[in-house]
Amino acid sequence: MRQPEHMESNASLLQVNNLSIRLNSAAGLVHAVEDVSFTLKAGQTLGIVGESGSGKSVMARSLMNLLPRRAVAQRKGSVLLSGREISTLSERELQRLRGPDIAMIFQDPMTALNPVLTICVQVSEPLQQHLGMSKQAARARAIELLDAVGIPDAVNRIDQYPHQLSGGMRQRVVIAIALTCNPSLLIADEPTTALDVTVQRQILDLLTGLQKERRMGMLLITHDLGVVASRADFIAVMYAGRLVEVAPANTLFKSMQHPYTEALFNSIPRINDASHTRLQAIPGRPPQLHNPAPGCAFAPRCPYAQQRCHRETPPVVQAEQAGHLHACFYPVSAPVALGGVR
Amino acid sequence: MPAKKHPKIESRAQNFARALQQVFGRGFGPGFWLAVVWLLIVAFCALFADWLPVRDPLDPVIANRLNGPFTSNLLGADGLGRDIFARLIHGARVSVVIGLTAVSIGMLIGGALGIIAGYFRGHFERALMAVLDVILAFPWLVLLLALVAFIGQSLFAISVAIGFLWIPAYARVARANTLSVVQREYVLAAKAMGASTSRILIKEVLPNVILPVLAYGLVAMGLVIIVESALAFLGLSVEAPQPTWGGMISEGKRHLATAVHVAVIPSVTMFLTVLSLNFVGDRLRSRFDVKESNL
Repeated sequence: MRQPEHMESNASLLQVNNLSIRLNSAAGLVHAVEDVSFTLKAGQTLGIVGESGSGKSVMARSLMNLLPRRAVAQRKGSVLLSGREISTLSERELQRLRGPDIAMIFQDPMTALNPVLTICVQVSEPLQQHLGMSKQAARARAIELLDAVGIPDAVNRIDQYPHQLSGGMRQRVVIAIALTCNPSLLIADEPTTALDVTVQRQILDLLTGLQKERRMGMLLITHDLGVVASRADFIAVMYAGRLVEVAPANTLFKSMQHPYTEALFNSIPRINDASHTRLQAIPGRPPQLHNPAPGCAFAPRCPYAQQRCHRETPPVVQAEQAGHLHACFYPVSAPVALGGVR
Repeated sequence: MPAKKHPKIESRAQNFARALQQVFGRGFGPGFWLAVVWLLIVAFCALFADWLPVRDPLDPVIANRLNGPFTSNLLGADGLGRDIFARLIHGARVSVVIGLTAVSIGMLIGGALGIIAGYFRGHFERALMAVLDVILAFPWLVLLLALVAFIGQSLFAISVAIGFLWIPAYARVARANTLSVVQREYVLAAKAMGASTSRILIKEVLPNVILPVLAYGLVAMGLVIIVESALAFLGLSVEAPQPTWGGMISEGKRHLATAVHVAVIPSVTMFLTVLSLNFVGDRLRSRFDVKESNL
């Protein structure tokens, strides 16, 4: 793990305390995010891993207050960005915050770009709005940004429309837009899910490169444990709206505590396994998030579940190592070999 | 590493030219172009009526009364001996002005209301839709008569009255398109970059909504011309000496038994114009409508 510089080690860029979000839906209240707490320091990457519907995106969007107001039934807890509480800001203050302080990369570059506007317009807009640049200056800066995210021949590409670019190129443009105002925190919500495997790696390398270069805090959200393994300083595993395990990346793989983390880890196919090795899938289905049953949400699928697990919700506790948190009554602390992780 | 050769990238102008070629270059057929030519002629007459070498459309020459085509007058003369050809050309002006103004009014007001309703939803949308439904449920001719009686019979007043009738239709088209655009991720992405609501409406929503709304415009213009003639038939369009196509048909009906051409010639002119508008509008709409053209 990269050690954060001494000066910055105290200043937390993003601090989330006991965040709970309930959403309205036809089937009733959805407990999308439950009691989530974490901190992120400047220049660090936090990987958030969880399967579809575990509340990752809802949490990410709530960090920017981007959830549609009608959809949010209840919101508890606090989100502090550089010490400022997000949830009490006015719409105008939020508009000033989004872009220069916090920016987001979306999952699908096919839909995250406006099909009827040129790349130039889309990249230079935030520059004109937030930094007050002239049209020409913004255009020049946009070309630099496209260069920085590895778009070849940016000078000519800039006047093209999104449909003239490939998926990987479009995601690079989306990244360039997110970087326009030098955000101190970048949220990447499944940035590579919609891309080809070959392009995924390039985009991830680009993101981590830019993050180091600009010393941004980054929240890397994914459903793939392999994606964050080598790229995040900390990894948080999310299940049914809760963070069930948070640890520094190397600690997590050496001594995972929560059975769900272990199950996720075991379900990654490994290239050096013998052929015809059975892939260990997690049995059962992810829980419904409305009317959650009492007890640990993972208990019905957990091979180690005891009676207590079905009755009580396990609190988040500290494991042996500093900074390693988990929410399980019966942690599995068997060390696992790191070899197979991508 | 040597610089890689990249495939040639078109300049902005080439890009635009290619887009134009894609839209207009293939498969419209001769009918489309005939319609375009007819519309251009009508537009030209409307613009330059005063300078064209035609007779005075208001000058009654009693000797020519009800003369047929290719006699004293090119297309004959009406019941007061006025030149029908000149009246057609000057009447085109009324049709074109009313068509353009009414459609613009409907498009601007209806389009804006529709976009706002589709973006903000909530009470405003429900109230607006209820009001629009009421307007649509009203018999349009009765509504139009009431409006004209209220605001007068000038060219502008009639345009406004007919334009008012088109607000509900445009509001619905704009709202429906806005609803689908707002759900796209690029709107959320713009919000995530700190774009203000007005910026999102103008930069993200409007460019995506304007094409289907514009495409509706030509077809609507054809209908507007017919509505104007209906008003003229009731004697409620632009006041008397000013020639309008609807007014000419209406005057011609008195002479139907003796001089058919007085009513038929303006009818055919109007028929061709409305047909052309529908034809061109429909072809353009199917070319621009993503769902239909499968672009």
